[in-house]
Formats: sequence, structure tokens, C-alpha cells
Amino acid sequence: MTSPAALRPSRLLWTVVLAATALACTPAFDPEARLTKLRVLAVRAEPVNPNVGEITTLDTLVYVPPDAAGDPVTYSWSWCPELGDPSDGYRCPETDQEIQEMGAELGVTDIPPLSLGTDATATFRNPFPPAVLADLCNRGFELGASRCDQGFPIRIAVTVAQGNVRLPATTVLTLPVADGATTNLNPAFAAGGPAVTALMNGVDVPIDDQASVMLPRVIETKLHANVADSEAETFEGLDDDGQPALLRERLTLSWYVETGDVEPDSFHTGYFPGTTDLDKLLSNGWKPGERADYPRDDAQIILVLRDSRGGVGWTSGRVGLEPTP
Amino acid sequence: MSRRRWRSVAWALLLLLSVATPVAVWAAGRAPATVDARALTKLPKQRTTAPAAYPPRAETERIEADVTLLLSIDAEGRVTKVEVQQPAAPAGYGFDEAAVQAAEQFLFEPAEANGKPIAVRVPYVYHFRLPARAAASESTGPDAGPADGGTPSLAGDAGSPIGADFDAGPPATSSAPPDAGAAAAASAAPVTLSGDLMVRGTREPMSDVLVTVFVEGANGPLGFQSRTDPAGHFEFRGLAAGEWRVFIEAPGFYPYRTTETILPGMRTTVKYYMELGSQSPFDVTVTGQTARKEVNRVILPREIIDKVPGTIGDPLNVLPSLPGVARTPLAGGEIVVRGAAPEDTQVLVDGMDVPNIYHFGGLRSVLPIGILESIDFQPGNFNSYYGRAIGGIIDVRLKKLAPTHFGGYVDLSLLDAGLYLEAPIGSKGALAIAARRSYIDALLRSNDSDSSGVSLVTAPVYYDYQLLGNYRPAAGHDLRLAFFGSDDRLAELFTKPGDLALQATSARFSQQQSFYRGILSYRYVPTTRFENSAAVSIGRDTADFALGQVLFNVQTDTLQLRDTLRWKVAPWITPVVGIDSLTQRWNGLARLPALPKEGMPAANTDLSQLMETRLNSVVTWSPGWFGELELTPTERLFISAGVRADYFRRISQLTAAPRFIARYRLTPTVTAKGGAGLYYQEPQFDETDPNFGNPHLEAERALHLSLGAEWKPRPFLTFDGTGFYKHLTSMVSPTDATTTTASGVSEPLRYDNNGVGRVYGFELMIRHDFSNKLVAWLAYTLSRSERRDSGSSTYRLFDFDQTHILAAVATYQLPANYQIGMRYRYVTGTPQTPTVGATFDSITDRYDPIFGAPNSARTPAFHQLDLRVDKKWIHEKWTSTVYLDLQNVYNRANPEGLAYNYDYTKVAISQGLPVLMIVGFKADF
Repeated sequence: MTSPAALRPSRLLWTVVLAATALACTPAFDPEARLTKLRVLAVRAEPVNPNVGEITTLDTLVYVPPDAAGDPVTYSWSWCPELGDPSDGYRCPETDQEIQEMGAELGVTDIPPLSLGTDATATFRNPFPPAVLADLCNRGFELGASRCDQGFPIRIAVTVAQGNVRLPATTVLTLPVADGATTNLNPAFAAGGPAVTALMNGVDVPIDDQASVMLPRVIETKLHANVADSEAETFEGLDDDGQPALLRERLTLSWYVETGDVEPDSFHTGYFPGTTDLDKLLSNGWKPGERADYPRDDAQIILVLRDSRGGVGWTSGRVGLEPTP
Repeated sequence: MSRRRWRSVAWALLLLLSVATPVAVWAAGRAPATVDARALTKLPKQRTTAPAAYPPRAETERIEADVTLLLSIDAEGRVTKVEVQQPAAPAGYGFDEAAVQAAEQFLFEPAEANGKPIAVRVPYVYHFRLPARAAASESTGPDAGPADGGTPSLAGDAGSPIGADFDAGPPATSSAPPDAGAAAAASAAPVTLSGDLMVRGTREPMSDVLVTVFVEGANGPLGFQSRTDPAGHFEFRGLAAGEWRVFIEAPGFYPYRTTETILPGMRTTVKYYMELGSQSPFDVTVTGQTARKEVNRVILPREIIDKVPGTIGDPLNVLPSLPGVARTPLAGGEIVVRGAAPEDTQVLVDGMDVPNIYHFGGLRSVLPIGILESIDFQPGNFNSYYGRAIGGIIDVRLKKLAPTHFGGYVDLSLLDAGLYLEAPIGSKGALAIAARRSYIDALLRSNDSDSSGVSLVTAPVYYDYQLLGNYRPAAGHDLRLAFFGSDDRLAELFTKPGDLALQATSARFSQQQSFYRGILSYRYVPTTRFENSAAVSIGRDTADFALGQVLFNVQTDTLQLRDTLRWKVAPWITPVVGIDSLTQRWNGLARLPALPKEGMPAANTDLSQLMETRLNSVVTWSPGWFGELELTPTERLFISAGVRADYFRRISQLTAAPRFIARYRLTPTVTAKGGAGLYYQEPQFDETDPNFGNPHLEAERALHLSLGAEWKPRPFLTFDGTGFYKHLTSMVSPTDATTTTASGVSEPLRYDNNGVGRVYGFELMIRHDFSNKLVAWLAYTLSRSERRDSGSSTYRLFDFDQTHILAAVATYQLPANYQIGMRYRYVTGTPQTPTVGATFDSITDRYDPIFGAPNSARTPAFHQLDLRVDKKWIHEKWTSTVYLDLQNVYNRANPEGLAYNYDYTKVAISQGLPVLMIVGFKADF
């Protein structure tokens, strides 16, 4: 059947979009923004794009519920030159020996072992000269990367465990494929000011770690994050039509709270410079749950800021909760 | 006897109209007495007839004649006496004797006066007519029988006196027969009463209906009759001033009675609307029985499709109620036939390729019910006319226009509104146009608010349009034109389209999918033994989808040519040959992630790893040739032996597929049947694209085997059971293998032809065609469909494998133009690939599922009851229908799939729609 195939990819995309809009009745689960159990919320590399010979530090943002705060949390870091397949948990198909042999073929020495340790943070030293990676990109798909316009992607994996709970998490580290390439910076909340504020009686009150702000339960309080527009960096990339262009990063912001709900519309929303409103990205509302559902007197809020080139930043705060209802 | 058959006009009319004209009346069971014409409450109706033998010498010399008889019918409906009132001219050929001999065998329902049977005398005109020498009738094709000669004369005897005589006395010839002088006098007189007779509600003219008028004359009641012409028009001349009773009776219609006042020197013009006794849509469907030539074929006419519960009157929603058709998830829009992938089944319109038959992947058909004639469904072992498919065939047949007047309908439903108009163009042509537009977007917009908490709202907007035309310049020539198209898009209700995917690099979002087709066909049937059908189809498909960097913007121009020649060389052998050429030109750009294939679970899409291909006037050509011999060596045996050759230019492969079908009539009611054949299909376009797939793939192949039997114990009842087996080879299957190009670049192979599959099962169809006010069918399929992917040594279940598929559909005609219908379905759950874990991806801020064995779990079974009630009102010039379609009556929480929470640690059944009530309105005019 020839012709229907012509529209099949489009139909497929349609189906995905329509399915996303609840044509069927999906059951209610706890919202993703509500923190109730051990969670990995982000994996970060600093710097984001380590040049050859440069060491990047890897860390995670892990949420540990208050009732398990005393239990030890363990980490297991690894890397893989292939991006891998999500359906099998990004299992790395290469062994250390194979990686070393490949390095020898490429003339690359000091390739780190696949395992990067078991500390809360790990480091990775980039052993790959840009020219080698550019050559790999040109040679095609043997390492699973089909697009290298922002660099050569490798997989970073970490398994966070506490008791019987094991949480695999991953990120992609993009290594430069050209000498002197501009590297990305992790986005950050506004320096020198409060990262997030609550609108109380018409005044923006900073949310700190001391729970000095008291929020009402079951009533929505407007929140505002402070991020400078310049955090959406300018870079040389490919536009939507695949043409080289000077672009700005897209920023996304994810909100996590220990009780109640944030506006699902704003849970993790996007800011496209020049297209959408940054203030919309940074605004949200939080309606803490009632005491029967959350008896604690305070609650944590965590914000994760991402850019579209693998950069991550985060902040957190704590609020007090009114005793009733 | 010569193949040229004949029959008399009066015989045919009385058979069709079951009406006779009262002449003399006398009370039942006693001596005739005077009966007032106004007391006559029922005209005699003919129950049985007997054709008169055409006098041989007259036939040889091609002499035609009329004989006017006077029949005496007693109170029990028996013909007690036949007299010749007006002998045939010329005399001496035996016309009178033949007419009398035939009329003596007639039986009638007796006439009634005040509700009691009475004896009457009626004039009865036998028209002896010879068939025309010209051979084929327009509608006769090779599948139909020979031309039926002796077309009934439609000449009306307008205003002729019928010599009504209600005087007492023995039945005698005292009534005045219509003689030439009287007729001449009548035709010279001015028209005093004229009118048009039409069907109430549809305004279709009623031809060949006797209109009878009576008046109380000085010598008793005097009656005249006129026969309506093809336009339903009738006239009476020279009626005396006064009050005239009007009687009209036609079979299937309520009797019509009225009184008209004729004023001196004035002409009275009237319009009469007769109401059908039954408004069942099936009553008007007269389908010729053609010889069955397939192993399995279901043809559903429009009248049935329109009323199936649970379909909202949508034609293609009836497909899941047919044997062998699996149920696909809500809004999936995929048609799975006998365990074949959706893309393996061809959906055609009048035999021509169309890109898409549904709006929004299943929301609504792109062709409204009004322009359809029928749906022709063949789940397997189809003949060589069809190709490029290894699954089944769904051929949507467009309406054969035959409007008698300007008319149409307006259709309003929950989803859309449609308009259909049709009109005759002269005496040889007709034209119809239709259009439809959805208004779901408006409804959703009115319901959209900031407090809804919905981050994105999709509002499907679709419209479609159709134009049909036909022209029959002469008998045996049939020229048809169809132009239709469709457009789907989502209204701008995405507040933040970029949020659909965190990897989207911009907020760009666009979507549109449209196509049009123009089909011109010409059918030439000079004799009953020869037929040639040629058709050309041109069209354009446009698909535009953009979400950030993801892009699919492709335009496809299509040219398809078909020609089929059928020549009945001898009564037992009919060769059929034809060509079927499909040419397409592709332009556009696609930048997509890897597309999931059958057997692959729905994983998250990585938008950072896109593949891109540019299409600059890429031409693909798939010519096909087919030939077949239809053999009937004995009356009981039918064999079809054919071969289809297809050349797939895109993969440079020529295939030859032999196909055999046999049917053997074991008894008058039992037929055994079977088929075996090879089928080929080109890989999907993306699968052979150098960037997306493997350009060195070969065609997929399927062997179809089926064996079964049909039992037809009653004319309206059929039991059809078929066992089937399909062996699939050279199936395109994803692979992890890589290949190295000539320049030394390593590339993934992506696909190879190492996939295989097997499908086996049994289908049962019990069909009750319209009879006793009931139309119903029960379809049951027991099957198993499995695939073995490239590199695997074990079979797995096919994505839509469903062990049991049961559908029971019934529609019953109730009094007062009510109709009630039900549909019940039970379907085994759909295979699912379970999720056994998930990995948090910090880049996309989402969890990527880790899958277990493919299709190793199932959702619970689906079962649902739908009801539908239609109520029709007959107005003088139009009809209105309101329907209530109640879906999922007992509110079954049917599974549509598995739904997971954000990190795949919790799973629940995603449920289908709850009980849903849909009201629709349709006005036909």
C-alpha cells in the first residue's frame, strides 16, 4: 500500500498529540510535582561541556523524604560512549576493554573506566580531542549519535539507592567537536536576590530555608522565581529548518512541593526567548494540602531550571504551613 | 422460446401496483345490487398473475397489440368471467385468446365497500410488446443477467373513460368500454383536472400509477382514469363540473382519497403526496443477486450502514462489526483485518487509492454516508483486481446517482454538520455536491477557561467536500466523475505547544493534513458479454506537521490509471484482464525521530536524535497487470484462476502472484468455497528511504489460504463459516545490524526482510437480510496472529492479536416510523508490553520506561452494548429524522490501554468513554 504510507508519519504524530489530550479517561495518580518519596530530580555536570583534558564534576539533586532522612543514600556513577537504548535502561553495550581498544584505535589515551565511582559526586575527564569526535560524527552512527551539531553526546548514568529503593537516572554530556567551541553554562537563579518569592498581602516575600514565610493551607499562594533573561544564552546552532543560525536557549522550570499542588499548567513550562513570556515561566501558584493529608508544619519547595543544551540549576526553600485546616 | 421475452404492460402494472379499476360492483354473496361509488373503500388488488404467451406468428412478424378485457371478480377475489371488450388489432394473431387464457388464472384481493368484500368488474388492458432489438440495457454488466426485453410501455391512457357502471344487474357489458371514439373525444376536450403525484416526504415522482376519479352521474357513478407519466403527471380532460372523488392506490403506499371540485370552464391543478406504508430504509433497496466470486466478501449497503448503533451514522465505524476486523483503541483509526498490520489493508474508493479514509485518525470518515453506495469488504483471498496489499481490501463505493428531482439532506450531529444536494441534469445526467464541517473546536473553546487546569486543548477541525456527477449519453455508456477531499487541522488551542516536549527547541507548532482526489471513469457495455471499465484518478496529499524542530512537510501528487476488460467468450468462460498503474511524485522535508514499528512498545521519543530526508520530485511508479479466467464448467462450480504482476520501482522488484478461488454448490442452499493466493506489498515509504530506512528492502509477501462453506436456508438468512491461514514472509523488521557504505561510513541497517508471521483462525457470519422488519448479523472471529522479528527465534503476539471478536448487530422496524437497533461487541483484550522499570532522564525531565517481553500481557476484555432509536416524520415535501445513539449502555469501564504514573511505578487501565448519548438530526428533502 503506497500512498497511505505517505501520510503515515504525520498520522502517527497526530495520534500522539491526540492521545496526549485525554481522549480516553486516564486514572488519577499523584502529581509529578508532589514529592512523597525518594526522587532524583536532576543530574548536573559542571562544566556542561568539558573540553579535552578538562574535568567535569557530576552531581545530583536528590529528594529524600523527611521520614527517611537518616537512612544512608548511595550512588553509583558510570559513563558510556554510546547513548544506548532507553527500553533497556540505557545499558552500555561496551566493556572497559572494548572502550580501551577503541581508544587505542582512535589514538586516544587515558580514557576513564566506565565506572565513575560511588560518591555523591563524580568526575569525568574528557579524553577525546575534538577532531577525533568530529571524525566519529562524520563516520556515522556506529556510536549511536546521529546529530553532533552541539557536540558529541555521551551517556552519564547514576543509580541512587536508599534501602531497597534503586533509582536509575541519566544525563547526556556533550563533548566539543571543534576547538574553541563556546561551551554552555549551567543556568542559575538570580544572584544576589531571593530565588523564589511568595506573594503575601501584595508583597513578594522571599522564601528561605528557615520557613520564615507562613503559607495558608488549601489556598493558592502566588509564587515567583527569579531568573534573569540572560540565562537563556545565545549560541550557534541549527534552527527549526535545520539551517545554521544564532539561537537562544530555551529555558524550562520544574516546580516540586512536598504537599498539595502547584498549577499543573506551570509545572514545567518553557520559555522561548522572543516567542513566549519569561514571566509566565517564572510564575506559579501553590496550594498546600490540608493537615489531614500532610500533618507537618513546614514543607519544602524545589525548583529545577534547565536550558536546552543540557545545563541544569536548582534552588530550594522551606515554608511554614498554617495549622488548619 | 426466444431469449427475447415479453410481458404485457397491464400485467406488469398490476403486478407492481396491485391495483384494478372498479367498474361494476355487487354485494358479496348475493345478487348484484347498486353500490354507491363513495362507499367503495378498497380497490381489488392482484395477488397472482400469469403471463400471457406471445403469439408465435405475431412475434415472428414483430406485431404488437393491445387487448382490453373485462374481468369479473367475485367477493373472494377469483376471476369468474373474462370478456374481451376491445379486441386486438390486427385480429387473427391470437392475442385475444392468449390474454383471456392468462387472465382466467389471476387471483385478487377482493374489492371492499364499507369494509366488506364485494364483487366487481374491472377493465384490464393487456399490452403485448416485443423487446427492443438493441442489445444491452444501461445497467447490465457482465455480472447481471441478459437484457430483459419487452420493456413495459409507459403510455398512459390519460383521461380515458373506464365505463364505470354501478347499476344493479348481472355483470354484463353494459358498461362502456373505452373505444377509439371516446378516447379521441376525450383527448380533444380541454384539460379540466391535472396534477402531479409524488412520494410524500421525498417528492419523488410516482410514475405508472392509476389515478381514478368518479362522479355521481345521472345514470349512476361515472369514472375515469389516468396513468401518471414518468414525471408523475396526470391529466383528465372534459370532466363535468361538480365534485369528483379521487382514488389512488399504489403498492407499498397508503391509499389516497380526496375530493376535487371542478368548476365550469376552469382547470383544476393539484399535487398529491402519497405516503409509503413503511418507511424502512431497506424497503427501497433492491439489490440484484450477482454470482458470488469470492471466498469472503461482505457488501453493506448505505441503508444498513446508516443505522448501525454506536457509529453515529458514520460509514466506516461499521467496519469493526464485521468478521475478521479487530477492534483498535479509541481514535486509533487503524483497521486491522485478519491479524494484518493496518498498513497491510488497502482502503480504496471506487477501486482507487486514497491516502486517508478517516479524519484525525479515526474520529470520522472523510466520506459522509450520503455519497456512499456501499462498502465492499474482503478480509482475504481477494482476486487479482486488487494488489499492493497483503491484508484485506475495503473498497468504498460511491453513490450511483439517479435523482428524479432536486433534493438532498441536512445532517446535524454532535461532531459536525453536513449538507448534500443532488439534481438530475437533463434526462441523461445527474450531479450531487456535499460538504461537511466539524464544530468541535467551537464547543471546546466555549468550555475553555483558565480554571480548567488544562495546559493544552486540542480542537479538531475538519471539513470535507464531495462532488459526484454522471452522464449516460446512450445505453451501454456510463461516464462518472467524482471529486472529493478532506482537510484536518488542530485549532490554535495549544497555549504552549512547546510544552508538548521539553526537547522542543521552539514553540513552533503547525499541523494540517489534507488530500483531494478526482476520479473520472467510463464504463462501456456494448453487449452483455463485453465490458470495459476505465478510470483515471489524480490527486494531491499534503501533510504538514511541525513541533519545534520536528517537521513533516510532504506533498504527494498521485496519478492512478485503471482499465479492466471483461469478455464472456462462452457461457462457461470469461477472461478478465486489466492494468492498474499508480504513479506518485513526492516533494518535501521530513525531520523526525525514528518511527515506532509494529511490535515496538510506545517509548519516549528522543527529539535530539532526528533523522532528515529531503524529497525533491521523487517519483515512484507501481504498475500492475492482472489477468483472470472465470470458469463455470458446470452449473455448480465456479473457478477463478488469476495472476497479478506488480512492479515496484522504488525497490526495483517485479512480483507475480497467482491466485485461485473456487466455489462449489453442494446443494441448492449449501456452497463450499476455498481460495489460495500470493500477495505482495511494497515496504512503507520511510522504510526504504535512504535516511530513515533501508533502500535495499524487498516486497513483503503473504500466502492466503481459506476454506469454508455457506448455507442459505432461507432467502434472507445466510450462515457463512471460513477457516483461514496466512503465512507472512519477507516482512520488514527492525534490526540492530549496521552496514558500511562504499565510502566507509558505518550506518545502521535499521530494517531487513527477516521478519515472518503467521495468522490462523475461523470466521463465522450469520446474516439476516431485511425480512420481517429485521436486519441483523452476527460476526465472530477466533484467531491468533503472531510475528517473529528479525534476529529472534521465537514468535510473539501481534500488536492487535485478539482471540475472540464478536459483534451482534440488529435493527428492527417498529410502527409509526420508529426504528430501534442494538450492537453488542465482545473483544479479547489487546496485547501489551509491560513496563518493568524506568530511568530518569535529567535532560528531558521525564522517565524512560524499561520494557518486559513484547506483547506478553493483555488488557482486560472489551465489551459494550450500544442502542439506537430513530424516529422519522414524513412531511409533505420533506422528511425529518431524529436519532438517539446511546453508546456503552451499561457504562462498562472498557480498557483502551495501560496508563502509568510519571515514573512508571503505578499502572492502571486507561478507560474508554463512559455511557454516551448522542443525538442527531437529519432532514431529507
